[in-house]
Amino acid sequence: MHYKPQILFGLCALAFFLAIPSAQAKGKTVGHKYIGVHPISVSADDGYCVIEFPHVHRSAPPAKHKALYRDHRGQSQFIADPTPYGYEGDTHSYYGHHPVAVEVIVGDVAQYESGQQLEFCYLDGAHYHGFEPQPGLTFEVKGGVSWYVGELPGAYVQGKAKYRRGNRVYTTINVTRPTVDIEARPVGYIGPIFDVHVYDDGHRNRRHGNANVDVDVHVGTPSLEIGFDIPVFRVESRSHGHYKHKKHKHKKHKHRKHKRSKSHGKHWGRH
Amino acid sequence: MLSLSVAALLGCSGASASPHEDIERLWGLQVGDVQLAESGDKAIGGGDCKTGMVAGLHVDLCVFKDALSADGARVLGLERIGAITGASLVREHLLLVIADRDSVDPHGKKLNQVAKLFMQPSDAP
Repeated sequence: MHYKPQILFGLCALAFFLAIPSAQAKGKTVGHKYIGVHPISVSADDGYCVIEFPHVHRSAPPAKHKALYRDHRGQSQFIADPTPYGYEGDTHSYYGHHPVAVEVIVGDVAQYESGQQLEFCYLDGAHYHGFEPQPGLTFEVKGGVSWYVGELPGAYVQGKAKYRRGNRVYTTINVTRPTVDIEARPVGYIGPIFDVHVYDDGHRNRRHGNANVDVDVHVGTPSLEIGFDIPVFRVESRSHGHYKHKKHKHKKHKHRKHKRSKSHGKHWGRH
Repeated sequence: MLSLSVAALLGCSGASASPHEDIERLWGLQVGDVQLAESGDKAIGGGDCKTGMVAGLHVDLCVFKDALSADGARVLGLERIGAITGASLVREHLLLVIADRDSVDPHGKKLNQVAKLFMQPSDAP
């Protein structure tokens, strides 16, 4: 019996596709591994998963949230601000970027020591965490806020581009930030101390970034203030996804201050 | 505090006969509905297992001869759960496999409570 090559190929392809479901049925499917509490989804309305122990879910963290997680031995650990997602546990106030000793947080060790896994939080400005600063890391508490006053190693710089994207998440949801008096920051704090914001009176058009530049543009109000490469001192109280500047003072190098129309009101520095 | 009090009560009663019964009683007092039966041939990794429901969650509770055996069965527990919300936890020579198959616990509160009671030391005062 002779079959044409096309028929043989078709029979092989059919057999292949029929075999796939049975192979899948035999396979051991395991969910994505998490350790510790975390948001359930991108939407803050979906709430928070409160399982403190290693556990699994059907899927990995959503792509938009990947920068808020770190891998700890094959498990995803959320290390960002849990408060917008209905988190009900203890909160601790921080300002700026800082290291996170993952093994201390998960309870494997009591204190951070060299050689242990060290990750970095790249959340800009004032924010909350569900964990305290870990023993063994150099934090200073001032005004009820923890400031990292130690050195930031090369690993911090290497991860910056990848993980700083996580800040975008917090510009799209309602966020309540700790009130921070930046004038009272510790002398040893060397992290970024300002943000770049552009927003109109309806808070619809925000830009957010960090550098040694402060730009504060209120579109819809006839003013524009820009300061470059200077310490910026202000008291911040952030809510509903933006900062409310209670006090704002540039020490020097105020380059421009003039009226602008609404259509020309956007200006931001380095991102 | 309540869990410690209950644990103390259980410890004082001296009525418990097995780790299964201790934990089942604790769950019964603190999370409510507990329905477990011998697993038979569905036991995980050769352990002495009970299978059933606790507070609407699917549970396998197994006793192994030692901690190493229990730890080795943890992966089998994850396979038992599959790609849904669940946890496979080991405490000493005990294994707890818990899964929210019916999606009754969207925030994991019940699961966390059941797991926490399982994980607390047996000699808690």
